[in-house]
Amino acid sequence: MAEQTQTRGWVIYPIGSRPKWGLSFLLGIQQYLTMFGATVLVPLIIGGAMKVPI
Amino acid sequence: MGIATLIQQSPIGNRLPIVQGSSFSFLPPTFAIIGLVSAQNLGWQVMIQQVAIAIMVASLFEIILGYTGLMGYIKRAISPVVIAPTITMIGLSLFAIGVPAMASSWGVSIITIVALILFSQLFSRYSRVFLLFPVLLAIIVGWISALIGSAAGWIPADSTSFMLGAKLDAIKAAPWFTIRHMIPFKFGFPEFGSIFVAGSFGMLAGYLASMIESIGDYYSCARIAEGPVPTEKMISRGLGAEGLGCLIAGLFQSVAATTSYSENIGAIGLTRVASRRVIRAGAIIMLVIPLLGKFSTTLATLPDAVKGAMYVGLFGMIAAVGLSNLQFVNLNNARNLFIIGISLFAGLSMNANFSKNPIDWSQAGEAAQVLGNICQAIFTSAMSVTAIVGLLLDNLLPGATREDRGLAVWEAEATEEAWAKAEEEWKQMAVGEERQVFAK
Repeated sequence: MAEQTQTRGWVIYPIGSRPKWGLSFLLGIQQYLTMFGATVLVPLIIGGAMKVPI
Repeated sequence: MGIATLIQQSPIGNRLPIVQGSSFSFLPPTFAIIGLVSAQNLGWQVMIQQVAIAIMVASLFEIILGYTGLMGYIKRAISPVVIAPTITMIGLSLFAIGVPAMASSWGVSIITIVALILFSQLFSRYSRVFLLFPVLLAIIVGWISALIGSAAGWIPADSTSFMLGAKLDAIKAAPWFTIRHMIPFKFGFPEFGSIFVAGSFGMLAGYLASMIESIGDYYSCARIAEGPVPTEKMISRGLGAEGLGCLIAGLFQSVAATTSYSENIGAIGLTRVASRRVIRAGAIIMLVIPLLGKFSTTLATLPDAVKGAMYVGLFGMIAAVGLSNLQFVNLNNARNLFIIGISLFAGLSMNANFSKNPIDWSQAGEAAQVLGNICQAIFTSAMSVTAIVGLLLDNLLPGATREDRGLAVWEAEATEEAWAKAEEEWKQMAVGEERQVFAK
């Protein structure tokens, strides 16, 4: 594909847009993966401080 | 987290594409409760009971302040002069967890960050896959390079971020399917004693810092998603919904209260996808993945070096989105520059002092201790300090018109009508239709 030039705006799927559900779930996994702070870090820090046996 | 995110997307939330996750602002009050419990030589079950009940009780405070619209009033005092440095500080204040995580393996982290830069900025101009999934693909590249590196012995086996053998054992030991975490009060009911009272008050501090952060997050989320400016009602509903999410987190005895998550706002900027439907799908994934024991344990093996590289990209993006709010501000006005500069500097500098030398309140009696904990939580939250200093100076100092402060443009956009119009435009888009941002 040839290079495309940016014309206006940045976001291709705005807030109220409806990408197909399959694509939405793939994109949702991407969002989930960016959240390691919440999913891994915070429980680890608190669990460590409480000395919870894992 | 999944439930909290779905609440935020519903009509009782603010309907911004924003994810709710465990917050770092609740760590100091949580540690305070842990300290109180361990002083009485009680076990970790009691710690969990007390932390969870404190999260639940204090969440009522956020629910009430949110849904009564009291916090929405603050919006009237917020201008781009305040919000630009505040959002910037959301990103910058996390500087301490970017490169230190990358340093656990420079090889892997540099591969990851180079992949992220190439995928999101260069390859995305040619390929749809890279346009939509730069973050996911960069994580995969980083993860694979870490696996190859440790299998080939290039990365020392005892490096804390890898320990491949131990991680494989953990995956083997994990069950395929678990519903344990879905049981309310699974660690037993708490006793309502002195720890309960002190803990709940202390937790309020976490909620205060979290609310200020969340308001900043709403603005940055709307801005990065190219929507109108959040309205008073949206802020009120958003905070109320966050309180509800925390109440539910406490009910399930998750030890971490939830708040709006900055990472995902950065990810919207990098992936150009701001759709609510995607965030809902993400929330469903968040609900399902912990049920699959083996899968969530596998995810927990994501190397620190990869995370560090992602932090640099995501938090950097948030800082830049904050700065972009300055386009509405008259930057030839020295008063505006003064406020922006001082509030940014104060945020970083207060944190540098109070995170190392907290004021010792232990001699001052119990009531003062509670107050001291609240002050400590706010002083060490760089973006709260920036927001408070900016808010005070911008509203007290003369020398700028409403146009200079960028309020004129903003208020025109922060209306229910502007949102209704935008929602109408979005409804016009067919399923699967994209907005054209490239000239063909």
